[in-house]
Amino acid sequence: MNYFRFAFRNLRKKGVRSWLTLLGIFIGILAVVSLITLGNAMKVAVTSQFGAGNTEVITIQAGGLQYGPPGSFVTKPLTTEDAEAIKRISSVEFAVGRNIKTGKFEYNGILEIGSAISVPEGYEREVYEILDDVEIEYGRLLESGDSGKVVLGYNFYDGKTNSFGKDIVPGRTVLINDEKFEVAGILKKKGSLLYDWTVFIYEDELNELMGNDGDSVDMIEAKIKSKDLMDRAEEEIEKLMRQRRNVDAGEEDFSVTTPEATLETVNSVLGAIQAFIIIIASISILVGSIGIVNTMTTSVLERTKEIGIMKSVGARNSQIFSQFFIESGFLGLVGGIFGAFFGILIGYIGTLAINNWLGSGIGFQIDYILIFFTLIGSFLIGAIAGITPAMQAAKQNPVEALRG
Amino acid sequence: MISKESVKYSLNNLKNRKRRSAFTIISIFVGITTIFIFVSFGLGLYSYIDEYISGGSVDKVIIQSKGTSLSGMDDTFAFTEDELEAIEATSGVYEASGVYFKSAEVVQGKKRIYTLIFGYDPKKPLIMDTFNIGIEKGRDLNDGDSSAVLGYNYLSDNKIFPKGYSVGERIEIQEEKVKIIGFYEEIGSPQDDAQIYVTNDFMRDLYGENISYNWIVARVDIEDIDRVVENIEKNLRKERGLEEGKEDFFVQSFADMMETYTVVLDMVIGFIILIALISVLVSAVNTANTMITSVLERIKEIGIMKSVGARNSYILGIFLFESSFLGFIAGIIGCAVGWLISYSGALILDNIGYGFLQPGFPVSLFAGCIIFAVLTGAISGIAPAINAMRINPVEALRYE
Repeated sequence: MNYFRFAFRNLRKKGVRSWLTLLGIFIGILAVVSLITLGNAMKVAVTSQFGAGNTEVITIQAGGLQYGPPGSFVTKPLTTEDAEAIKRISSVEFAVGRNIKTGKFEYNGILEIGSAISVPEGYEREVYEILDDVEIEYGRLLESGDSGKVVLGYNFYDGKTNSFGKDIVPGRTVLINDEKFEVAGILKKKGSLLYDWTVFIYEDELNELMGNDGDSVDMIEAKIKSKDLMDRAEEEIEKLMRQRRNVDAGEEDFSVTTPEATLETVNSVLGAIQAFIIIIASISILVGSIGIVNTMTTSVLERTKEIGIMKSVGARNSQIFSQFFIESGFLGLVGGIFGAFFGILIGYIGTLAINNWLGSGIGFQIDYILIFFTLIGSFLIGAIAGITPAMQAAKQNPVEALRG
Repeated sequence: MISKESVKYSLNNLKNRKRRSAFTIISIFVGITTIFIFVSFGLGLYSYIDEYISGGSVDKVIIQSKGTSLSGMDDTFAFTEDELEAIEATSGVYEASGVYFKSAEVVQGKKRIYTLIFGYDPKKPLIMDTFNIGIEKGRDLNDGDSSAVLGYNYLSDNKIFPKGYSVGERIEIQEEKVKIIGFYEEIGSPQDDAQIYVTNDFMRDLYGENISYNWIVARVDIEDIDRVVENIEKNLRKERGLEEGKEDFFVQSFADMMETYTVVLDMVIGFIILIALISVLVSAVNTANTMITSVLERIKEIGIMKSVGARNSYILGIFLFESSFLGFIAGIIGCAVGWLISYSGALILDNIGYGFLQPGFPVSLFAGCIIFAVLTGAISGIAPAINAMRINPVEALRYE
């Protein structure tokens, strides 16, 4: 413990120089901590863009370029019969085909282009509760027997932000592709642009609006009976679709994806970007540690006499080494504490800004593991930077040192 | 202010404190290297864009439909032949032609890929005029060709398919065996070099008569481009029976479209450099630290110099020169290391198909980085140098 007291006193005495050295590590840690915190918030924001949180749903899409919403660029679309066939697989609880189409939405004389997703009649409850995981904020969801009604995502609601200049509330009439529809309800905010800007409409009505033949679907969603059956179901669906589309294994012209797989892809891309930025930010920590080496070397030179005295009254080499080693680790640690604190502060402000920008509702969480490792890391970086100067100090010849 | 002697004196001082000088240099050069690398790749990207956007693009206007996916890919509100004619009949429009983008299924043996197939009118290749892409092998499309020109990567084995293709062979596109008449030069990105180009007529053979144009490209009177754009909008609105403000399409000059890409590129590179600047800031702090120590060590020396008549400005000059010189050396090393890393990084990127990510090394980049390093050194030396200047010679001589 004595080492720490001694180290702290020395650092305080040295004034400006210690603070400047600290500043180096401080800025580096600040950059890394704030970027990691912001990166994590971004990950949550992007992940929530992918909407549905149900992990027992498998999505089937026809092969094609992935440049837009599902189904927009396929060469050989899926059909409603495919959905019927998948439904008959024993591990599948139910399966529905869904269409996602682009259309015109008009209200208060203002027109916007957006997406509409189909709700298969008779499967309303399954779609809301299981596939899309949506809840109603105002009004009600679509119910069997409804006609000429739509449910809108949350972002349509507020006149100040919805670009239509007027609140859209249940009961109002809107124009979709120039046809009149009554708004049955507005959904709760999901924090996903995909869902919050989407029109939910009955399948038949969507097909009629878009001139769809009613046979092809953009994607098929299948709810699997239980989580343990996911792998088996995935294989069975693949096998069935291969038969139906007459392709061999390895030549699939369709894709079968689980929510985990989608998230994994997204996360690995985001992770790579984050890692890249952090590596660049870490360079400043490296530079900061060079500053510590520099300061410690000077410090050893300045205290040559002191070291000589300590040695002549019986201090061991190892004690001198520890003294400087810990002092330098301390420099790192103090820089790390300040850096972590302000880094988290910046992360917090940044998260608020992201929420503001995307209209998402990411909760801010302090990553204690990150703080723990940052502090340990900053102490270690300081200590490692101090090794050479500390060794130098320990090796001093007391006689020569006393002579100055 | 800076004489030959003072330079000699400073250099000697730096030499005597080799280790400390070395550390200071390392800390500056690391930051400079990072900045050098990103700026060089950024410059390379800008010149890549410049190189591929030909002079033929200035008088082109692009009409796209609005949609929910990547620009022009959503064909919900795509354009018909009548609409193309309406645009062509607009005053100020010299000629106009339609462009198709579709997803194509391409098969070789057991391997199946999906890629972008691109249809244009060889009689009016307005879209091709905007890009500088030449033919690598074979020939370009002519009117009436029921064949395809392929992207560069189809030439080699194991890039797209196990076996490469050559001119005259047939390739299976959308379940049709299509004759290959040529290959485009390398564009330098795996997506672009896997594209397939056909004539609009052949596109309709492959995908059916009633497909519609994703883009319409028009060559217009550049003197009066704003009015022409307005006229196109008006005519297209009339053709589609739309009210003003309720368009399901938008008209953009090619130059404006490219500008949006450049703005995004600016933002990305700016952000990375900002982060790299953090390390330069840290190294400036280090340099200040070194210089403060250096001043403290030489207090007596400074006192002697002053007592034999050295002016304040002379002392200031010595220390400013020392810190700038450290920055200068760091700048040179930073550029050298940065160049080495960018150059070898580019070789690796080229190998994995991202040939468009090539760095540019103009002289101004080297000069800029070195000047920046010198400035970093000089600025961090200001406070210590002023300290040194203010030293009272009497007290300094007494200083232990």
